[in-house]
Amino acid sequence: MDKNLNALSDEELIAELQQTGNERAFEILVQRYKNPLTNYVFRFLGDFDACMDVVQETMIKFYRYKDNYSNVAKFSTWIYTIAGNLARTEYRRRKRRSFLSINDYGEDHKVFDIPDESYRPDVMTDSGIKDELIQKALLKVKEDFRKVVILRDIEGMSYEEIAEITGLNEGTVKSRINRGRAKLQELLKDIYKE
Amino acid sequence: MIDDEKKYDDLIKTLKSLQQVKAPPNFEADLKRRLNAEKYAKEEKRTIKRFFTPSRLVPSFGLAAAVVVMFLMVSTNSEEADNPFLIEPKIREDIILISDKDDLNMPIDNLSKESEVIKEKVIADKKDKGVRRENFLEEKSSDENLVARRNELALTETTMIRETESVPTENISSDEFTRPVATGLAIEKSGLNFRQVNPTQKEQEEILELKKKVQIFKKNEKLE
Repeated sequence: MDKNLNALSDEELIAELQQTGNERAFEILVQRYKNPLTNYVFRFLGDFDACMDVVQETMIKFYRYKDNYSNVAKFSTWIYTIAGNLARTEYRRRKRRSFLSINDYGEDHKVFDIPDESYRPDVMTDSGIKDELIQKALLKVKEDFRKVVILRDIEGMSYEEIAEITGLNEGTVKSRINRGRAKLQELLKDIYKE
Repeated sequence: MIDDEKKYDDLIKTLKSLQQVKAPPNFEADLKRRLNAEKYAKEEKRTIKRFFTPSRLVPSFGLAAAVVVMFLMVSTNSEEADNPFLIEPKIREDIILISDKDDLNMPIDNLSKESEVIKEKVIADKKDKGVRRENFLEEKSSDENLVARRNELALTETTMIRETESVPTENISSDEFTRPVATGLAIEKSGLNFRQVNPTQKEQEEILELKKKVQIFKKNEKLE
């Protein structure tokens, strides 16, 4: 039974979950998406604990609203949309909260370096420092540009999929990706000199 | 588009080389725990909702309404209401004391003069009566005094009422009612007393005797 379910596509698994309420189908989908979503949300937020909360919330929402999914869109697009929306909400909430704190979040603002324990450098091995620099640079890129850059260059999605997730047309997606990349390159120019 | 990809080739490579951040091993366990907690909370909510559904609240609301109605009935029937026999009567200053039926036909100018004269007469009468009453009361014992005073006051009232009743209403034309009347003579508060008295048989006999005496006294007065 399990072997059969593992062989099913995402769309077939969610159909199984909708029709029979088979919890195993849900578990398999969680297993498939927990890491990609964690990576996407972490790159967007830059905070591991907050990222885990968002991914957990995404899975809960997926389970709660499983019947709302229709086979028109890909399952990956649907779950990335949920995660993206939750991550954006969390990012804005944190930004509002940090407005009064000493660490000013976001793009073009001066960032005071406070040790970020949530980054978990021990997990990052040798390239830890470089990764940290890139992550900090990513957080300085505008929210809209950052999201599409992560989806395209880190998650490796197609322009079409990104357009579906973000609800933008492909032209806007491409334009935003280029602007995000330009900003990121400018921020990371020292790394390339090395 | 391909040019753009080439332009940022290094950056794209750098981003792709970023280490994958993975979910912790207890991710599924945490998720299950949260889902179960949510299910439990939902069940609790549903139970509370079910408990407060209108159909279930009907008997309790009915009971509450019945209790309120009962309370209101008991509170309105309580003995707290004022006894009308113990309330001091209002002074009716609009009531006129008319001793003679000819007064009704009198013109307004004369009425004011007449009223002055009547006033004086009444005051003199009162003084006279007051003196007589004092003398009379001095003779009685304390208990008897109280009864006698009340009876006398009651008699004064009846005489006053009789005086007004003595005017035959059939003889008064309709336009006479619309005429302005003198309001100088009003019933005074001291002349009214509606308090209930339950005299004993002995007291009743005394009252009757007194009544007879007063009637004889009045007849004599009229003859004079």
